[in-house]
Amino acid sequence: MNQRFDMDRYVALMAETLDIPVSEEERPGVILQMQRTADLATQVMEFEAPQDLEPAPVFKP
Amino acid sequence: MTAESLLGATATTIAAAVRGGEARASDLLEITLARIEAVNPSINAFNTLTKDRALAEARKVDERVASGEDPGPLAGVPFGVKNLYDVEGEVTLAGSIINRDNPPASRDATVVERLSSAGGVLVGLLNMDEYAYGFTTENSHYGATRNPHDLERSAGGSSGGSAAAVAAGLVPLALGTDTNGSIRVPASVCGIHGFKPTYGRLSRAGVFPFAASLDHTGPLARSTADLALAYDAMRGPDPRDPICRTEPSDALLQDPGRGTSALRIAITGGYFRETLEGQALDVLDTAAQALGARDVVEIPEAAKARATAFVITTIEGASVHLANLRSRKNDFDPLIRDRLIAGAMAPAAWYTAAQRFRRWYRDRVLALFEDCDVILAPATPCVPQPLWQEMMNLDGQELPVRPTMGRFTQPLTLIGLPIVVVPVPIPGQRHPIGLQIIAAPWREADALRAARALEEAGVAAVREPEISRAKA
Repeated sequence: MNQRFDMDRYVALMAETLDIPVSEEERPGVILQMQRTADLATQVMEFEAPQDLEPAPVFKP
Repeated sequence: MTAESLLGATATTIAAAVRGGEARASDLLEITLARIEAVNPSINAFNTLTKDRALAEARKVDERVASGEDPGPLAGVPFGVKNLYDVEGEVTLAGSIINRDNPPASRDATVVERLSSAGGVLVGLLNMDEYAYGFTTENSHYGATRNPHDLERSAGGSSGGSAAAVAAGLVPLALGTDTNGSIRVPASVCGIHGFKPTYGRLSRAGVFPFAASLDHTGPLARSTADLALAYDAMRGPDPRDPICRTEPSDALLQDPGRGTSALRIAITGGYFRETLEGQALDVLDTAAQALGARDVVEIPEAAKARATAFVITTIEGASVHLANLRSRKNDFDPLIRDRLIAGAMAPAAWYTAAQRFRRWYRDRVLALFEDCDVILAPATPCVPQPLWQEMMNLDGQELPVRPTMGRFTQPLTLIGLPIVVVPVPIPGQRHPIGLQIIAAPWREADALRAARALEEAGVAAVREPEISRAKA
């Protein structure tokens, strides 16, 4: 994953895209959680999954 | 036998007394409600009491006994449910103020209905972290639930009300839910037994969702027999829950209880020992010795599994609440709001990578069960922490309290393994530490058999807190 990820800009854009209002006061808290999630996701994304690996959830029609 | 003597007794003892006509369910209910009124203000376990329903259910049990009908295996057993379960006529608050605007539930959650049909008496709804998103039951709307063994400390979460009510002797049985550890963490820090069967074993119909691909239901109690009693009453297929297994399951009380000689028991190393406090390590080793566990197994990539559980949880959780995050964001508990917003914003690539790793990890962990039947691991890395505390020191590291309490439970819920938690007292310490007894999928009986062996050997034991000795 790109470690130079601009979290401030990402949060602002996603707030606009999803229509979730995030005020200036609220923004640091959201950025903090987003950064924590990104740090965890980095660990997950480091895993080199074989292309034919089936995702975990199984849908039964 | 008087009803008074049943206050604080196990569900098994209560049901036997009521079924045998030695005590009346209505009498036990009356003193149970009085005990709750006296003790609950100190621990804040119950949010709501369901007195009218409880009176009706207790009377029905007494009438059945009087007329010679079978009142059910849970006859007269008072129980509570986490405020995440639908109860007919009650609003399922899920620890929120947002859900106050929802209509009352039109019917019970399937497992609640099954406990009532088995003769159980529902006395109330129990406190939790908002939307089950926490490990401490610190709720900004309804207050924190306090640990009955030490009122300044957390009862664990998110089923903290359930664990505290059982630990304080207010009810012998309560239902919780477990998405990342929310039955096992509070059971561990409140010193009681908890049971999270295999993902899909017990119905979740009528239970407010947290993260659907991880959500489990299960009981908390003060004995392993009570866990089995509740499980047996709740198990079975449910067309209302698409995840619920359709194949029949074996009753656990009927398990011959052969002890553990036929079980191959291993202990976890690596990740599960690295940040454990010294005395908790002793607990683990004492239990391993009592069960004759010799082999050490390492759960592969456990830290990555925990990260995966976090990512899946935050994204699935956010999807449930997206509409309310847009329209009434400030009504969420500040402790969870920003996490939900972050989950809503997370890219899809994180989620799909997590679900693919999850399959790989599941296959690797299941392979461990070729050489063992049961794996032992600590349930929490430490004793309960003071309420509202942000940071804690663990093995020289400064860590945030709330997520850290789940570090040993999250890697296991990720793949839905059946787990019983038993309380193991630490010599000279007020707080025990729970031991996770982990079995292969659908092998609940193996985990429960090992739990029972630890209970019979006296290694696992429930201690009565001072608060439950107070006069009703």
